[in-house]
Amino acid sequence: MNFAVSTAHRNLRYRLTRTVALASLIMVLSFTLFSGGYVLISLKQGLESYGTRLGADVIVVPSSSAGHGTVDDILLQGITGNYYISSKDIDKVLSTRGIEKATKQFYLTSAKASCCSLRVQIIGFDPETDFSIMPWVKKSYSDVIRDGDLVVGSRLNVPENRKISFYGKTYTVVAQLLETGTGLDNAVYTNMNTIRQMARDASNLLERAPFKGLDIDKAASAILIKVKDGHSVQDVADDINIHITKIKATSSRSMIHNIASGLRSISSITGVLILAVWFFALVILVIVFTMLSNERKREFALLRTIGVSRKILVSIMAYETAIIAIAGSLLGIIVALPVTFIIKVSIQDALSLPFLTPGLVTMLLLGVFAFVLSVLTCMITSSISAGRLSKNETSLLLREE
Amino acid sequence: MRISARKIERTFFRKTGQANFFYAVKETDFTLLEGNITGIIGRSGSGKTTFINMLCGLLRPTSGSIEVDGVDFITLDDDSASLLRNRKFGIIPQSQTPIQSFSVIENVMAPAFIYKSDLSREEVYNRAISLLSRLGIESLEDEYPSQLSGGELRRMAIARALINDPEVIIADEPTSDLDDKSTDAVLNLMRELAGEGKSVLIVTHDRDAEKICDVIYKMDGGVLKKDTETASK
Repeated sequence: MNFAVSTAHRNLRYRLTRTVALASLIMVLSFTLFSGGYVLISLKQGLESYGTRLGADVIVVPSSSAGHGTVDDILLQGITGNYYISSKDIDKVLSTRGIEKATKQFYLTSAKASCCSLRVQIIGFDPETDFSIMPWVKKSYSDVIRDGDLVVGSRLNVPENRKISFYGKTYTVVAQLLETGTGLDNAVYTNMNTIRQMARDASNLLERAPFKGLDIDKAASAILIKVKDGHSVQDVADDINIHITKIKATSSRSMIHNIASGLRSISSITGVLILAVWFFALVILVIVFTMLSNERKREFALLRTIGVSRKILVSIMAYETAIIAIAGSLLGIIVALPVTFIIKVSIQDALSLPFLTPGLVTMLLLGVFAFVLSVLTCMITSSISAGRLSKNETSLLLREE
Repeated sequence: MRISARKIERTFFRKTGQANFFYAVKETDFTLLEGNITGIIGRSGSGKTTFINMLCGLLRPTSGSIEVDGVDFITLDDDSASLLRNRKFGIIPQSQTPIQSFSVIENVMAPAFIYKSDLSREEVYNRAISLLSRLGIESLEDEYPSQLSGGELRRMAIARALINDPEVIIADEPTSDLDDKSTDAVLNLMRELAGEGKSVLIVTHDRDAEKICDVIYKMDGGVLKKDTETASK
C-alpha cells in the first residue's frame, strides 16, 4: 500500500467520528437520489402503463357509475364496482359513427362470503374483440383463455393448487399477469362466458345482486372504443354523450391528461426535494471540507516538511474523500433498497396514482446514477478546498509559534 | 552538501495597513557549509522561519536564487523539490506537529515510506528504534502523539527528521520544551551530525545551543547579518 493510501486509511480510522458523520451525509444524499429517482421513474412508468392498459380512445360506462368504482377508480386504486349498460344502449353506442373497433367488458365484484375465496374485482372480456387486455395477457400467457380459466393480476396470491372459488364454483388460474402499477394488478380476468356464468350464480346465491332485472347475457359494464382514422376522438365521445342518456363516454386522453396533471405536481415536488437535498448537501460539503482543510493546515504543512509533494497531499485528501464517498453512497443505496420496496404499497395508496416499480436494469442504472452523482458531488466539493489549499504555498507552511 | 542563497528576498502582501506588502526577508546572501553548525538568532517575527522555509524549498523567494549542491532549487518542480527535501533534508519544525493518526514509531518511520526506497521495512524500523533510544524515548514507540509531553514530541520530531540520514539538518528551536539532560543529548547529536560532515542549521534562542554553533547569524527586521558578538568559534 503506498503512503497516500495508508495515510488516508489511518486518518479515517483515527478520526472515526468525523468519518462517520461525513459518510452519513453522503448516505442521506445517495438515499434521497435513489429513492427520489425510484418514485419519479415509478410514477412515469405507471402513467405509461396506465395509458397502455386503457388501450382505447373512448371508454363508455354508465353515468350512474360515477363515484361507485369507475374504470378510472379500478385502474388507479382497484376500487371495485358493479354497474351495467343495457343491451339497448350498447347497440346505440356501437352504431355511433367513427368507431373502428369496440369491445365490451363485464365487471363483477366477488362477495365477501363463504361462496368466494377472496373479494376482488372480476373483469370479463372478449378475447376475440379485445384490444386492451389481451396484449397484456399475451406477455405471460400464450394459450387460449377457455371457459373456466382465470388470469390474475400480479398482486394477488395464487393458491398452490391454482384453484379459486367464486359464487360456489371453482375456477383454475392459468396465468398471472405482469405488474402494471395500477389497480388492475388486484383484479381477476376471465372470458365473457365465464363471467356471465359467475353473474348468474351470484344472482341465484345473493338476494340483492346488482344485475337483477338485467339481461346478463347481453349487458356490459364498459365499452372500449377505438376511433377510425380521420375521426375526432372527442367528437365520437361527445356524440355518444349527447345521444345516449345514462351513459358517460370519456376520451382516454382526457383521463390520462388528468392523471398526468396530478403526476406532474407529485413529480415536481419530488424533483424539487431531490434538488434541494442535493444542493444542501453540496453547500454543507463545501463548508465541511473548507473547515476541515483549514483545521488540517498544520498537519499538511508537516507532511510537506518531510517531503510530501503537493500531488501526494492531494492524493491523500482524494483517497480519504473517495473512501468516505464510496462507503456513504453504497450504504445509502443499500438502505434505500428495502425501504423503497417496503413503502412501495404505501406510496401507491397515498398518492392514488399509477405507480410501476422499475425493472432490474432500470433499478441498477438508477443505483449507478445515485452512486456516481453522490461520489462526484463529494469529490468535487473536496477537490475545491484541496486545490485551493495545495495551490497556496504559504498556507502549507509551519509558522512560528 | 552545500546550500547557497544569493540575494534572496521575500515579500508578503497584507490586506490591511498603509503598506500593502512588507519584506519578511530583505536581500540576503547566505551559505550553509558541510561539517558546520550554523546558528540563526533573532527576535520573534524577524523573518527566521520564512528564511529557513525558503532554504528548504517550501517557500519560493520573491527574488534571488538558492542552489543545493549546484542545483537551482527554485526552478525545480514540486515533485523533484519534494523528493530532494525528503532525501537530503531533515527538518525539525518549531511547532509541535505530529501525524496524529500515526504512533511514535510510525511518525518516525513515515519519511522513509513516502517514496520508494532501497531500505527494507525492518532496516527502517531498526534505524528508527536506534534514533528513539538515542533520544531516550524508545519505550514510547507504540504510543500515540496525543499521549506525549511537549519534550517527547520534540524528540520524536528530531528522530523523524533524521530517519532518512539527511545531509542537511534544519532545526527550528530544537531544544525548546526540553529539560537540561535532553537538551544536552540533542546538542551532542547535532555536534556528531556535523562531525559526520552534515550541514546543520539551528534557529535558536537557547544560549547552550548557541555555544555549539561554528558561526552565528542574527536576523533583524528581515536582514541577516553575521553576529560577531555571540560567535563562540
